Amino acid sequence: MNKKQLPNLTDLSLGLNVAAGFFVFTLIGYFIDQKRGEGHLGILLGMAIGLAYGGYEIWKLIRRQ
Amino acid sequence: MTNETVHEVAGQAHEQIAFMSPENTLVLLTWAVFFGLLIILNKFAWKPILAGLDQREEAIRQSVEKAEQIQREYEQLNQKRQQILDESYAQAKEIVAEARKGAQNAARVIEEKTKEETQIMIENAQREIQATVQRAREDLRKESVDLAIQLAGKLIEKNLDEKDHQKLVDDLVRKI
Amino acid sequence: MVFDFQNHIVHHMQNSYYWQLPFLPPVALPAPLTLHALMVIFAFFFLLILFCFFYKKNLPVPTGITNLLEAVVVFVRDDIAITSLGEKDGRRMTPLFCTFFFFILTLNVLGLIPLFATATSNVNVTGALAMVTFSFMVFGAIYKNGFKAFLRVLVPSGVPFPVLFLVVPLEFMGLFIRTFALMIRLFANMLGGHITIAVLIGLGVLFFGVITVPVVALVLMIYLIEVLIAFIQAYVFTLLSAMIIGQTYHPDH
Repeated sequence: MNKKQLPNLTDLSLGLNVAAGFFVFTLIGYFIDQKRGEGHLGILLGMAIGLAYGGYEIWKLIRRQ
Repeated sequence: MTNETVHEVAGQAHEQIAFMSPENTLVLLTWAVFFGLLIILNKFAWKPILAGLDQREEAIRQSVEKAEQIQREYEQLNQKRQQILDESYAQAKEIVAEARKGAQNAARVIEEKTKEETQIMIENAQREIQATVQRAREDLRKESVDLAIQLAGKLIEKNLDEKDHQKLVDDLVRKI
Repeated sequence: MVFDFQNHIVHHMQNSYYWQLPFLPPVALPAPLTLHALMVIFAFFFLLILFCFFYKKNLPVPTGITNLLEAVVVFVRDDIAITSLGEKDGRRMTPLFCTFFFFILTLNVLGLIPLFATATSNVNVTGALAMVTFSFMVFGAIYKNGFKAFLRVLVPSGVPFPVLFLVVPLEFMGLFIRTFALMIRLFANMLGGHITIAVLIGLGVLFFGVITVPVVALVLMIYLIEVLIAFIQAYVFTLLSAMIIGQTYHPDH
């Protein structure tokens, strides 16, 4: 097998990394919410940071090309 | 999320562990088994396998190198052999050419010598012929003079003696 | 015949303190031991027997099982370890990746045998393995390159200075998230395959009739795909953990 033709697995796992990052940050926000006991700010902040992380990962991929 | 017990409606109670709940014993067991496998297999399996693979790769690489070296030496020897063959062929050709030239030279020399000798023989023969002719003429003259004197003596009826005979012959010869 | 669809799936998927064999009462496992833990111990002994007894050492020309195992080890060494970590580190870390590959492969394939369960469909097992990768990634890099150099990994090149205050925490979380994704990938693939098979079989039993035969055929096809996925997921886990370990051992700017 020609090594240059193998798919780059780090690029392929971008999707799962973005999704996992979003999920983890949202979870963190959820737990912060549970601790405070009231309001939904934690979850929303977590989602925002999760989206920012997703965008950062995609920016790194584009920058590499 | 803690371990929950799920009871089945129809019959036996099965203790199930809830979905996606953290079980610390399983995590510790997995770590223990993984590191145990890592250490034991490293000692008994990976090290010997990897060492054997390295040895085999080394042996193959060396034998390939040796084969290439032998190939190269063979090529060199082949070239040398070809060179020697070419040289000896050229030498043989030279020798033959020289021999031919020598033979031609010898032939020419012999030819020239033969020509010279023939020439000399011819000249000798010619000279002899001329000398013989001269002598023959001389003899003929002398005979004719003798005959003439005898005839004349007979005519004159005088007998000349030898000295007068000779003096008369010489005068006549001189005149002729 | 009452068929409890939900419990049927639950019995196949979840970890339990009982081991259910067909036509026999369920075997109660000793106290802290669960079914998936039992599978992990099975895999341990299976790998020990395979590599210590079935593998013949020092054959000039290997045949049979020896040849197969050596081919796989060469594959892990050349295509996984040396490609991601370079020549020297790759050779040094090959035992780790070989253990990863064979352990996860054995656990995956054990789950396909009818009486056994898939230990890797449990977050705890995959989480433990992902944590092993994480510790090699972080502590191995600190041991090898020093703490400062490890922190340098978190700072990507070509980023203007003020943006760094946003980027460095994201990079730091990225370490954890890559490991978490590793865990989720293996867990979800194994669990999903088995849930699909269990659901389809359940549907075949629930609506027993003409539809059962095509359902069984479909389930057989999915079963074959499961075998392929078992190998692929073991390979992907090993390769990706090699890559993320390589990213911290040799940060390429």
